[in-house]
Amino acid sequence: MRHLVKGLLIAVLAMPALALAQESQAEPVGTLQILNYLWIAICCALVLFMQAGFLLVEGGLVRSKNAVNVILKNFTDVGLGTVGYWLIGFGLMYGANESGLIGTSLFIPTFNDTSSTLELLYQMMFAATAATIMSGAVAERFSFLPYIIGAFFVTSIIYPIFGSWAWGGSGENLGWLRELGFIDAAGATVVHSIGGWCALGALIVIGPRTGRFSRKGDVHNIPGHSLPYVALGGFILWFGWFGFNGGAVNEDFSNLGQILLNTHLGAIGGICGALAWLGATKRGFLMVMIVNGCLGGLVSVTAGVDQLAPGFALIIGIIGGIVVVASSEVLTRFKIDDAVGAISVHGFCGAWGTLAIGMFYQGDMFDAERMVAQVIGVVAALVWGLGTSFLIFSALNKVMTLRVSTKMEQRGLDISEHKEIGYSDFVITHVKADQ
Amino acid sequence: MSNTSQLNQRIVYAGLVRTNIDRSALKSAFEHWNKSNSEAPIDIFEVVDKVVGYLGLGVPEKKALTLGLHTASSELYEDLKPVPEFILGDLTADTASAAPQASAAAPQQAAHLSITARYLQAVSLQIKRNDPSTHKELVSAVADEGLLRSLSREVSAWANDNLNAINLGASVSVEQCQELAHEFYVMVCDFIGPVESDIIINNVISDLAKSSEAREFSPQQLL
Repeated sequence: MRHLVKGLLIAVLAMPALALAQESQAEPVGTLQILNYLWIAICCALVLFMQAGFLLVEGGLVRSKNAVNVILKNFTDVGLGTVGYWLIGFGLMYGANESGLIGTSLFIPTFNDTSSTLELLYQMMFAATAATIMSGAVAERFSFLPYIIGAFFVTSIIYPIFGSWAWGGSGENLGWLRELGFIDAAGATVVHSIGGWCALGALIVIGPRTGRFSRKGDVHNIPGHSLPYVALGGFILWFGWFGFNGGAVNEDFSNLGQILLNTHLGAIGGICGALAWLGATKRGFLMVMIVNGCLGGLVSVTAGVDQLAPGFALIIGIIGGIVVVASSEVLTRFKIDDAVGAISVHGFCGAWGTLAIGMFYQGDMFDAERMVAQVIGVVAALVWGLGTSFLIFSALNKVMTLRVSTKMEQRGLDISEHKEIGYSDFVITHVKADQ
Repeated sequence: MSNTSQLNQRIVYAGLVRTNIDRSALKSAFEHWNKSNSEAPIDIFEVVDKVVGYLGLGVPEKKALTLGLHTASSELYEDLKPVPEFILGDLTADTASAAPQASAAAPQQAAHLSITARYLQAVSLQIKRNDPSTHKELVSAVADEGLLRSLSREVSAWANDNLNAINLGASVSVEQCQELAHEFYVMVCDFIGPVESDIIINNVISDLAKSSEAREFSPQQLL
């Protein structure tokens, strides 16, 4: 009896493998298709896991009294943002695009085939990434509810419309940037720059945190409460990026190795670039800057991850690391208070990486037409992302208060907005939350 | 100062000397502890916790401090070394400027007035200790811009007194006190940044929470 059960169990477990083997003998393409499905499913999971990285980086970089607020923003913008993208965004991005400006079908999409369904899921993960970039930049003073509404607008309108320009359309009706020959393999501009510029628009509307810039012009640093979180978050993002860029793979997986290698080299380059710049300017090797440099390197190679020679991926990553540190200083000079450096990492490095693939396209470097298309794409992203987010957040500011009061800022948003404390053992502010 | 609190000072000084920490650390730890010095006999474990937490001392220093305090607490006042002038000098100056007005006013004042006055003074004093030049700028800013409009007279007098003791009239409400404390916080943030402000304010609030008035009005309500 025992042998019979064992035999049946083995037969049941072996059945899919046998079926696959039979299918592979009959239709080898089917096996490749299954591998494609599996790979995209893994990429979806990896991109979702990046949210944990964002959560740790952003949560660690704020003061302990605001940890719950920023973590909750990360959670909810994934939830509500992806719903918005599914309801409206996907249609605007990938629906029939006769004008080249906006998709007009595929709203609230449901597909019967695995390929399209996985593509929808993968794109939903991308949309969530675009939204979550903003949560760190505006941390410690942006009220929770308006933020969620803003994130909904980003994922359902701002991001997909730009996405339709760069990636949308099919056949002869392509998005206008795509028609121009604009290249952005995995979303350096479409996802990261748009997220960064949206954050910039929101920051211009709400202003810096209390005391960040003194009236005399001094800059007061506001260090995060847990740098180990930041480092761990950086590693999780690095890990997840293999899925973020990995989705740009060919159907026959012929460029998978190149994509993963370039992703890794971009991260390493970012670390080296940030280290070199910090060392050269004698500022000390700041961990936060080095983690951000790594992320900047990853963003930088994202646009051309499938079309870069590995050496150039490293160089682009190195410059990305430098861009992160240098642009942070420029923003500080303009009194833009980005709490986590998101605009530098995603906005500026996304732009840099997109311009770089125009120059260093494998086998056809410095093609003037391509470089012009890249410049147009980068400028269009800046104008669209910054402009629309500024308008949306300005309008929201008229109907609801975006910025919390200085009293709430002093008490921290955890207790003021959520009546919850991230680290109840450390905080002495047990006060009424509704004041 | 009562005999007991003077004895406490000698015991704590003797304990601190055993830890072999440098003069400035010894002085600042002593000052930190002395804020909670009272007429009650000292609780050795409380002193150890306070000093170790404040200075971040290691295990050997903690042991030495505990041993030193135990030894000293069994000795007579006359047998203990007096606390040197370099430590007591500043303390008497600080308390001379701060304590009399607060303590004299305390019996007539409601607890929220006394706590607010002590809170504002302690925050100002802490900034002065850390960076006298910033404190001067803060004084000018309070004098020039004022804080809570409804208390402009009191605030102006406070600025003229170099942000030492503020005199709040009996009619000043709890809400006004809270508003005044908050507006001062926003101004302090502008000068020393929000992180340092939070540290100073949390320390002051912790210290004030041990005072007798805190039973009637919790200083945390000023946050």
